[in-house]
Amino acid sequence: MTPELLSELRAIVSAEGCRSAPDELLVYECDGLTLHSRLPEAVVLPRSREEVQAVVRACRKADMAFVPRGAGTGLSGGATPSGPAVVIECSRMNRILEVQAEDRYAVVQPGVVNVMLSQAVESLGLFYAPDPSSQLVCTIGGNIAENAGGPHTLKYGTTTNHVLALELVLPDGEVVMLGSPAGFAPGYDLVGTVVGSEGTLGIVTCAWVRLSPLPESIETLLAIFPDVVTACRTVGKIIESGLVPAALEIIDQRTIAAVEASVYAAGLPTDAGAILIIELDGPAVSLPPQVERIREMASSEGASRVERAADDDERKRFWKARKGAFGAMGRLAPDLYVHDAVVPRARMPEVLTRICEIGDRHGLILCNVFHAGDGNLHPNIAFDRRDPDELARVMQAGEEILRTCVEAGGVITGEHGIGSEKKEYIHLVFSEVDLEAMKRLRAAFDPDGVCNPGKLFPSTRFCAEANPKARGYDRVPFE
Amino acid sequence: MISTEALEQLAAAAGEGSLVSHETVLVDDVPFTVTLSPESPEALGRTLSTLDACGVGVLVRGGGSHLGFGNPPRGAELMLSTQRIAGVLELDAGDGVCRAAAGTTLTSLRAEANASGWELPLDAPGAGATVGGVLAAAAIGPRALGYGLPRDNVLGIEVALANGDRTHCGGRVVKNVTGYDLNKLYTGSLGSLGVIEAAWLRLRPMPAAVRLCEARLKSLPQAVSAGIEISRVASARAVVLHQLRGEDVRLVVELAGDEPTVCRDERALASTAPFVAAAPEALDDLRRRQAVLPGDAGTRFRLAALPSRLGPLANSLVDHASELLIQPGLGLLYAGFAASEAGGLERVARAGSSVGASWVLEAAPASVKRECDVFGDDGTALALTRALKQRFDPAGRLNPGRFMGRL
Ligand SMILES: Cc1cc2nc3c(=O)[nH]c(=O)nc-3n(C[C@H](O)[C@H](O)[C@H](O)COP(=O)(O)OP(=O)(O)OC[C@H]3O[C@@H](n4cnc5c(N)ncnc54)[C@H](O)[C@@H]3O)c2cc1C
Repeated sequence: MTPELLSELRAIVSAEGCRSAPDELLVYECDGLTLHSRLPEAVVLPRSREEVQAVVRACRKADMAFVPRGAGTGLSGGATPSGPAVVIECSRMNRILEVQAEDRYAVVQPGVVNVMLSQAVESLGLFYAPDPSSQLVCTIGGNIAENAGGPHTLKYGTTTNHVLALELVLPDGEVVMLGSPAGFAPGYDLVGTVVGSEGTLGIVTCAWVRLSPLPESIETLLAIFPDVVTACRTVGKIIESGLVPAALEIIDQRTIAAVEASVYAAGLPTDAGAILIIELDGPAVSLPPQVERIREMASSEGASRVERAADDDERKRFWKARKGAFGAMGRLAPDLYVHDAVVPRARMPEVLTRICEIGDRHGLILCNVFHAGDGNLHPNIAFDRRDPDELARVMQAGEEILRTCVEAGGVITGEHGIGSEKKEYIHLVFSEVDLEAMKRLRAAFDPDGVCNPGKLFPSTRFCAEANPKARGYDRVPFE
Repeated sequence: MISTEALEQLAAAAGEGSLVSHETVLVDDVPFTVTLSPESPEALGRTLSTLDACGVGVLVRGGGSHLGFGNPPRGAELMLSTQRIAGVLELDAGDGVCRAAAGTTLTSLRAEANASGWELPLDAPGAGATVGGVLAAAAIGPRALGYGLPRDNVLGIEVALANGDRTHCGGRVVKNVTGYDLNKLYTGSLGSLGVIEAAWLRLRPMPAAVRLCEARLKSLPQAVSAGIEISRVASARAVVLHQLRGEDVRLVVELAGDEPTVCRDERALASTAPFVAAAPEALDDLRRRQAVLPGDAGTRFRLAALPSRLGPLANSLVDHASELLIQPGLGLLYAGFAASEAGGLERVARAGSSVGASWVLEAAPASVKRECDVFGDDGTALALTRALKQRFDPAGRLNPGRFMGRL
């Protein structure tokens, strides 16, 4: 990167808002997917939309790509540069600008940490529903870019169901307001189009998000099963019955053991083959009959017991175990590959059986902790990347897992995104013409492919070679 | 004028019996006398690529129930109908999802879903409304409060693009971030970017208990605030206010859910207004009205406002509109002006901007539509809208002139 660009960036965001020393950049070499890494040319921390615009314009002038970044907890390499790029980190844009309790929405900057919004509005009887397990750290901007889900997605939907309007700095530095706090903005649903676009269509500088009323009452059950398959069957039964719990989460035996040996220990029975957390919420009068029905379904599928959280503390303890599961798995090996795929819910038992076989066949430590109610699997592989043979087996197993899910009618990511991680696998789901349609969308927002290039689309040697100026790697002729 | 040769090529591409001449159908003031109905999705793809090669623009239609929505067509020579691409292709009762071809009517899909113990969460008005048309128009009915919007219930869409490429996005699973969410872009795009062939939809559980009741209220502001409050009870599936000028406000409420909740909510309703049981067709009536109000040659606007602004908005229109229909839980207000009432547009634009409400002109005589953009006057995203149209349909073959900005 040129000294001119660096000094221009410093002038825009101030010296302390600009990082360029190699040791400072190291922190930004990857996100939660440690397998892919690359140092950015510089990192800027703008404080306002105007600064974001100025940074983007400076980058454009210098022919430099840029990558938006939130907290860096993404698990598909979304915030990691794929080529020379400036990282635009939103952590200094972290204010909740407005809370409209009567109209049930909040206006937030992208760097607001997910859980802080819910905390800020709790006294008003409201909360922000999308609750990724990383919610203590991850940002609303990152959630929007990934269309993040969480355990309670089953009932409340993912991020896309909770974003009303966006202020977006486009890749040419212009700013545009998309959507409306009242919803039903005329024209294309551009908010829905930008949510989940993995930071490739522009930089979100402000978001109007829906607030939901806190549920009147909550029941949390913990059902203990001999194995994952019976737990999955119970989930299928619950879905088929038409009940819509707030959450249905499965934790398998290996994960339970890891959690119980860690600081997240919740007193889970380590001899259980699998645990299903069932959370119901809604009017107090509606819950007791639902609890009874679910108890019956779980027992008839082979649950040895179904415990009910006696109070809020116990409920929080169950959830601490669930949300801390990834962290706890850090005890098993130096690296953890968190996979993410979705299958039709009725196919979960057979798919999980096959996934476990794949792990065993490759001699890997594979654990499952997942959003079962949505069919969203997270097979996690604990490994040591310093062992090249093991790494090769991890990658091979990963591909087989994705293929298995797609063969069952599923897709290769439910909430973590394609990023750089899965871009070479997107062909498992989409044909060339399907991808071409997506590239048309990309080109309408970012014709030169400068905003988070190298993500989502498979790398085609053709593009880079045919167009030497293409920093965009994924740039192809459209018409 | 389209050449005979082009017509022959199109008829061959679209399949046997696909080219039908008929009596003039007016869309706004533009006459159409020929409709192409491709016999299959493959034929649709071929038809689009032939249209592209021949340089012919088309007006895309499903059941025709929302055909009146949009700016007046410009330069389309034929209608392209998806009606023959119909049928429920898959219904997974275990997972509560289904895949239906674009020309499937909501009525037939609903019947199949119900027979499998599920509810179809689409209830747009219009007897012949089809899945493709309803998604393309993002059309909703009174139950959108409980069902969610079309965007919330679409899991995957199969779309034939203007060049004939047959594509898909999303999938059949209920959670998915694989690739861009083109489902959102296509839903509500009024066929301006591609022609929907089929879609995967989420179904909803059948409620164990349903109650329909209504109340008559004198004061509109009071009715609006009662409506907002009622829309927030757990089992509210539809809450609709209707008022003819000078008459009482009719408030119709449908509760649906588990029995204990519905019973509890029903009791809570009693404290907000004098409710009585409503006739079973009360909701259907309002659904129909939503689509036809205010009758021949009138104009109908749909405004969207924050709940706190809905009362003032309704108030500023009540003495001028011949009819108001409000879905308070969604912040939606439909205002109908009879043909004899001039000045509806200015009034709506003024009322809307004073409370920050957006508006679209859902139905109007062509002369009115030619005076304004039916998508309203807020053009903040017009450049992006234009860029999208340019990328997906560069030659402007699909519904030319009809979308926002007369694209
Ligand atoms: C322990 C753990 C548990 C997790 N659990 C879940 C879970 O339950 N559900 C789930 O969905 N995810 C989960 N994740 C993944 C991750 O937390 C989410 O993807 C989250 O949304 C990322 O937010 P972030 O702020 O860290 O974004 P980053 O990782 O910094 O960035 C993610 C993407 O967002 C883009 N981006 C960031 N800010 C902006 C902006 N302002 N404008 C435009 N683009 C932007 C980046 O370019 C990148 O592509 C988990 C991760 C970890 C480590």
